[in-house]
Amino acid sequence: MAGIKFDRVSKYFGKMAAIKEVSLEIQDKEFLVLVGPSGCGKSTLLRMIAGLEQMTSGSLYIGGQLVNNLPPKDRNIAIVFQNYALYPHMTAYDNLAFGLKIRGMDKKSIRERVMEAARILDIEPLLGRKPKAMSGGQRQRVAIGRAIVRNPKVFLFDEPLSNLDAKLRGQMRLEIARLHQKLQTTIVYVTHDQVEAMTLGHRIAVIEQGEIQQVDTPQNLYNYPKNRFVAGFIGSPPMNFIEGTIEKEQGVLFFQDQQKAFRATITGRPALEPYAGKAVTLGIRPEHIHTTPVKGGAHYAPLNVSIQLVERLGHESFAFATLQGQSIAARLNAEEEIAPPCTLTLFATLEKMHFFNGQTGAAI
Amino acid sequence: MMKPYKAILFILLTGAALSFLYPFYWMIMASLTPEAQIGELAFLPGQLTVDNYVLMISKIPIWRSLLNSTIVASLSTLGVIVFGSMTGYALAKLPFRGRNLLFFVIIFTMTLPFQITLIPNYILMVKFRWVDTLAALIIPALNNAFAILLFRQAFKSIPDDLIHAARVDGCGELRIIFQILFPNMLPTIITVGIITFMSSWNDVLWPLIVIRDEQWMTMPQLVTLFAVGGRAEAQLGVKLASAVFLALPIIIAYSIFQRHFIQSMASTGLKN
Repeated sequence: MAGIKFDRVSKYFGKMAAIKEVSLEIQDKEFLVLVGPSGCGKSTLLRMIAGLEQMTSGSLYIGGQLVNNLPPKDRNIAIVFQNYALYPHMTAYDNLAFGLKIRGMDKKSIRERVMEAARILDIEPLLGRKPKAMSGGQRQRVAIGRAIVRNPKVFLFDEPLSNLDAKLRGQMRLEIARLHQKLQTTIVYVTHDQVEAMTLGHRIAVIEQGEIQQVDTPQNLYNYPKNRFVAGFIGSPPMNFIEGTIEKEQGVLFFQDQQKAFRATITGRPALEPYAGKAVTLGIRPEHIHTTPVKGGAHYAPLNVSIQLVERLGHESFAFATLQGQSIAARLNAEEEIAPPCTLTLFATLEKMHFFNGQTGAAI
Repeated sequence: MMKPYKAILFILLTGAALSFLYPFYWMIMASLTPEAQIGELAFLPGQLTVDNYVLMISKIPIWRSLLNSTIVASLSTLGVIVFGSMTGYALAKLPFRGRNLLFFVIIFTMTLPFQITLIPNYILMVKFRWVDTLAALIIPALNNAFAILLFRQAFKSIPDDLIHAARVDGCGELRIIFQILFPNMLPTIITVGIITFMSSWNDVLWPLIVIRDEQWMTMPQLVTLFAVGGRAEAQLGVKLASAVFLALPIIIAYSIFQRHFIQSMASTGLKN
């Protein structure tokens, strides 16, 4: 069993809080992704698990054992770094074997383990090469090999694909997912790339300013964000936000934007009743905005926008528009013929709208 | 065909190089010339002889001093590389309270002339009963501010993640320094090694203060005392023979390592 438990863990650099009272449980064999913008504290959390970063307060357990004061080598973890951190003067074989040698393993067993890891990662031809004679992708494989060769209880990945080009990143992402299926070990994976987070994680922890905003499955995070930050962070292009107020006329609730350019009638949302007359933020994802209101009987609110730009990706297009100064993105069919700049009426699906408290940003 | 300005530059630089080399050349030739003919020596000696060397060896324990110098310079260099790198590593990579202050104090000691600390250091040597032992030459030279500065800069340019990876692999701090980081900073180690070895080898003042027994003297000290102390009996050839003996090991060492030396001085200056 190698679950991980953070119990009210904090980390201060001087007076600045990098991690604020974080409590989080990661199950054995789970693939958990820590995601958030640069400087949010996700790498600090990961390094705390590794023992490379001391915590200011709180408790950390790995496999039920309190590890607050346990040095990294005794935690039975392995870490893959963003910049690979391979030993430059050693061959790939020696890089893989080094940790085992230090632990006093005999040469024959080391060889077996290294060859097994090399076979899994398909790096056997690289074993005689030094890191400088390898490409970025090859180095990353060797770095992963160095991690798996020790059979650790927990794998930690610190933005391992950031230095790779887009194609290789997609390929390595798949390989990491396969590796997890094969090894069935707990993995904690840090990234700022939400595509990586969504595709790899059993669960995702979204972090901002040292606090966990939400921990949930990728689909739940996408469909039921707990607050405006999570809603805006997960999804690409991000969710559209329109500032406005909830109004009530003749017993009917509706959302009115600040510039009075957009109005959406609200039905079946009793939670919004108390917000009548108060400021809220409406959120709508780009794929829930269409050029025609004819999608299976759903209800729509019209948006009169100025289209600025259309990005054509082949299988789909993204239209970037403004609604009285507010940016709006819409995902469209590739076949839609729009020639920007132009004005157009788009239709936002009422059932897919999210509402957030205007003051706190919490989902309503 | 070489352009005219390049030809002029070439001639000028060759002239400058020769003007530096000529005194050494003259010294070596004069030491191989009979005493009576040294005054007439211009470029090539009329007659070659090793008499000056034989006489010098018979008058002073030059082999013993060569051994002393080798021991002192080697151990000092080894010490500076080991302890200087450990200090530099701590100042670059280990977080502790007062780290920067400590570094500034160390740098400040570089600004103090050696002569200021001469007397207090001598008193220490007397208290430790190290006067007239090689310990007085070796132990105070086992670390120095310049080496610490160079090592600190070199360690700072190494990414932290390399150290983190080593820690997770099970390395302690000493193994991280000597097994993981050292192989990746050879230019710095060679620079520190050559500078320390040369300054230790050439030092005369400190040995003159703490060593009086001839059998513990270093070669520069012995040669200086011999050349200016009257025992060479005003024979220029013998004095020059001892000077050649003194310069030879350092010239040999430099010619072996000069490629690394120039390379590392350049890289130490330009990189972080």
